[in-house]
Amino acid sequence: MKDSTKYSGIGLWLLSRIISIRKNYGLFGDIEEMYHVVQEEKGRSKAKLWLGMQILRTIPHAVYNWLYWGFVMFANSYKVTVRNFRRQKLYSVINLLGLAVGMACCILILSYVHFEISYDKFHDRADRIYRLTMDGNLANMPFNLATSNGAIGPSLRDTLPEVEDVVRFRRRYRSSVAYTDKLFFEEGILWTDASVFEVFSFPLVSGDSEEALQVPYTAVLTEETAQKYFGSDDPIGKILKIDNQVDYTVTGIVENVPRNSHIDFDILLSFKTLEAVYPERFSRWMEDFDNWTYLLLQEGANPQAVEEKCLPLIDENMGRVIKLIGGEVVFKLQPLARIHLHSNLLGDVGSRSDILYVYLFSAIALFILLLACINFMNLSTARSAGRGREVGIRKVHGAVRAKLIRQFLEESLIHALISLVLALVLVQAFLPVFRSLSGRDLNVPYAEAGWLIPALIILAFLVGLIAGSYPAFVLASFEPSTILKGNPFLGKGKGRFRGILVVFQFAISIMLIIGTGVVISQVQHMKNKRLGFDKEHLLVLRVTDDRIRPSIETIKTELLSLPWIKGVGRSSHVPGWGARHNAVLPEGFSLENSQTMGIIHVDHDYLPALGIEIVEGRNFSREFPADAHKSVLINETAARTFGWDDPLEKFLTELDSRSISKRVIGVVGDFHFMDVRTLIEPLMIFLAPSDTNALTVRLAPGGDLAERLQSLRKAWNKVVPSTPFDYFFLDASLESEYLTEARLSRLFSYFSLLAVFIACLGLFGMAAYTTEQRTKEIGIRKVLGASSSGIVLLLGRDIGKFILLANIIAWPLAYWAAGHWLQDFPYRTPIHFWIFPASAVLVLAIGFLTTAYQSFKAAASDPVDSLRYE
Amino acid sequence: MAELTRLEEQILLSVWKLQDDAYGISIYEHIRDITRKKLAIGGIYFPLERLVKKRFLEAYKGEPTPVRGGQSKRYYRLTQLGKEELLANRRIQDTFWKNLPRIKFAGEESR
Repeated sequence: MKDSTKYSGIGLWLLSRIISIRKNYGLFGDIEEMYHVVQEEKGRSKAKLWLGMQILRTIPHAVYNWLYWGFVMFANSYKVTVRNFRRQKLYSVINLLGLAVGMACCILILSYVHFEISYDKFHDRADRIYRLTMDGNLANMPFNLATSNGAIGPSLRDTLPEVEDVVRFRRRYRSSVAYTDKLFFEEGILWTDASVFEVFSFPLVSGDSEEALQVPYTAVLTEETAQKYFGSDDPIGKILKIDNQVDYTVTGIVENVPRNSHIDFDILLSFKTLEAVYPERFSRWMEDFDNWTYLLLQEGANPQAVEEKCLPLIDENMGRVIKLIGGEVVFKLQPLARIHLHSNLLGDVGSRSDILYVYLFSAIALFILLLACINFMNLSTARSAGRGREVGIRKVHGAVRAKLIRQFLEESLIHALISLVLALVLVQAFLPVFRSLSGRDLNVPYAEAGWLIPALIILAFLVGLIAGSYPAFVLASFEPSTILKGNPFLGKGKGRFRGILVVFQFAISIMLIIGTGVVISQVQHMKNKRLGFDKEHLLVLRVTDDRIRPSIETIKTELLSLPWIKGVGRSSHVPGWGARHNAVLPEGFSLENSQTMGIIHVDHDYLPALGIEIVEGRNFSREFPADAHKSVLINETAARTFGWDDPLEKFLTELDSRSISKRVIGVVGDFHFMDVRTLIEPLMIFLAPSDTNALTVRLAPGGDLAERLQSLRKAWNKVVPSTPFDYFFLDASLESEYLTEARLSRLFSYFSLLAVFIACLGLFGMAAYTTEQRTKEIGIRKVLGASSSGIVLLLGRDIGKFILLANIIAWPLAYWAAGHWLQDFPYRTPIHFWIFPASAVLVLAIGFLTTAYQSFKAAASDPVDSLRYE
Repeated sequence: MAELTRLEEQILLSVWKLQDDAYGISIYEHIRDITRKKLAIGGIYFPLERLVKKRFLEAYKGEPTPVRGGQSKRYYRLTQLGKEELLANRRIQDTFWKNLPRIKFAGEESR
């Protein structure tokens, strides 16, 4: 009995608590009275039931009531916010935009970071897949190769129990692919093993994974590629003709490769084909190192242990050759998920990135957000300075402190949330620009990263709260009399903080502007670099079809009959493609000191066609038939490296299976056979026209290009009608080599723009604040006879001081950073010193413009108004 | 602010009617007796306080009574503003009712 009384007591208390939001005397008594009435009428147990029901039924009312008052209060805050917005349009827009830009930037960069770290994680077995890489030093040439020999993988699978499976990839050069009358040139062709569908998660949408790529001359296409060739027809069993010579049967269609895969392809060809055509190349561990090998390890296998177990195998299979040319080789196992961001090897795939960029960008994102938030707070505070009187009047009318705090906080929250919405709009608007800047086809991962939107909302709330807290707590705590009398603002401490912030932001802006200048001048430097040959008016025709090689001389003759063709040369490589490399023994060197050299194969006409200078000796000549076997040309760097003052008549021996010694008959001037970013290496040039991969055609300047191309195509088709005509312009292809730097210079200019914008926001906030503070001072100065221009100058002087200070900080840092960056370029621009003062002047001008509005307003104001301010 | 809701109108009228005896329970019972609806207790108190806030009602303390262990009841009384609001409400109602035309439904005798 006693217990039940207690329960009903608790129930009564609970009900009264729910109902009473404010001190509601007598409520408990009321409810108790009613309870007793019910108890008397219906009995104790019914009464308890009644009480429980009452509690339940009251809750909706309580919720409604809470919402009702919440809405009434919020509606009022909203109204005040809108009024303030209207009154200070410029400030409000700038403030909202500043925060929105900061947030948008942050969202974009976060999307980039999210995308970068998601690379290759979609493979189910990603944690067990490793790439076999080779480290070592051969013939005095240290190397870190992402690629390896094609025989290594299968023999590791057969000998080591830890290796469950192996997949090899090999890139096929750009080839023409034809189905009936449809012909396209494809860059994304990889040779690979049938196990690719077992080891990696590239799901087949049609075809049998047990059969696809199992036998020579089979192919698998991505959905997109299949669509291109076959439309709605079933591609399985259809035949593709590659480079107009070999037929491949389509055995499967694979889902399009995800964008965050470092292995990218459109067409897969069976590796078995290569093994059938070149059996000797894939039976030994040497000679050919152009394959990527991926190992699937057993569950729980230790990659280090596997690396160690490889050592005796290396010795067994490659030891003899390594001993011959001197050096050492080890294998490394690189985890799949680390390849995209943590790898920097020769032969890495193109889309590789660097974890440093991920860190750098994350830092920048955080930094921009932080600055935007601080500026938002500053501007909010500065803006609220003028609202002292509003607060005073509200207080006089009986507003309590809590209510004022709430109002300021709500106002600030409304601003922050509007900024967030604006930021999302900005993100959509700038996504295309950002895609081209980052070089990644990415989207904002709203769906993938479910935390993003809630996190942003929380962030907006936090920023709103923090930004509103200063005006809220400080303004609300003033005595109304003080506020109404005059300016309630406060000591210098806050002002100094703001000053430091402005200096800091401008220092960063100046650094970025200088950085932009340096990057742009480096790009210009590379573009204008003398390459050692005349890159204009050179057209390159690719030769990929083996069967047309015998007809090349005929094509040459046909082309040379055109009056506007000045020369045609055959070669294995053209500038930008690099060269093949091998160990070479120069005369007078011991075998342990053999040297690595680049080697290209040309015909008699190649060097004159490109305009490469012969600085000593002679070019290959038809008058000396022995040139084909016994003669070699070297570049100046080679002569210098070997210490040969008189290189002519010296002998060079390539250390391959034949090891034929050749006599130097001439020295060519150094020319860039790799891209402009790499140092020119020692180079040998052989006379071996049969190894032609390209025909380089020198055109006479001028003329109608389209017409000329048409004639070239006609000449080509006359000789080899079944092989498609594929060409490119050498200068354009060299241009694409500086794409990275060109993108970097764009990235820099955008970041500088952003930094300047954000810095100006900070400056604007500070200027608004100080001008507000000095209203009375300015009034008095004017009464005492100061001119308007004098006042503008007075206000501008402060800004000038800040920017000067920012320059002092920024210059040495920018100089150091630019020098550091340029270190990576063997051929680099000097740092032009005029960039420094130029950026200072630019920033100064922007700074003055930013504050001009306020300065002129203050200077032009009637002193009567400003002195009547009280 | 917005017009009175029906419940608010009923509460105001009850307070008017009950005069010096208008506190939570008596109002609750009055409305229950007339409308035959059993409201939740919260359904009475929240609107009551809202009406106080809108200044249509005034709350005051009653004498402490021994029955309640020395606690006093919270009584309500109509304000001038509340009365005006009620009258305005009634005028609106009356205007709606005024001069309504006859309406006849199927099966209904015309009167």
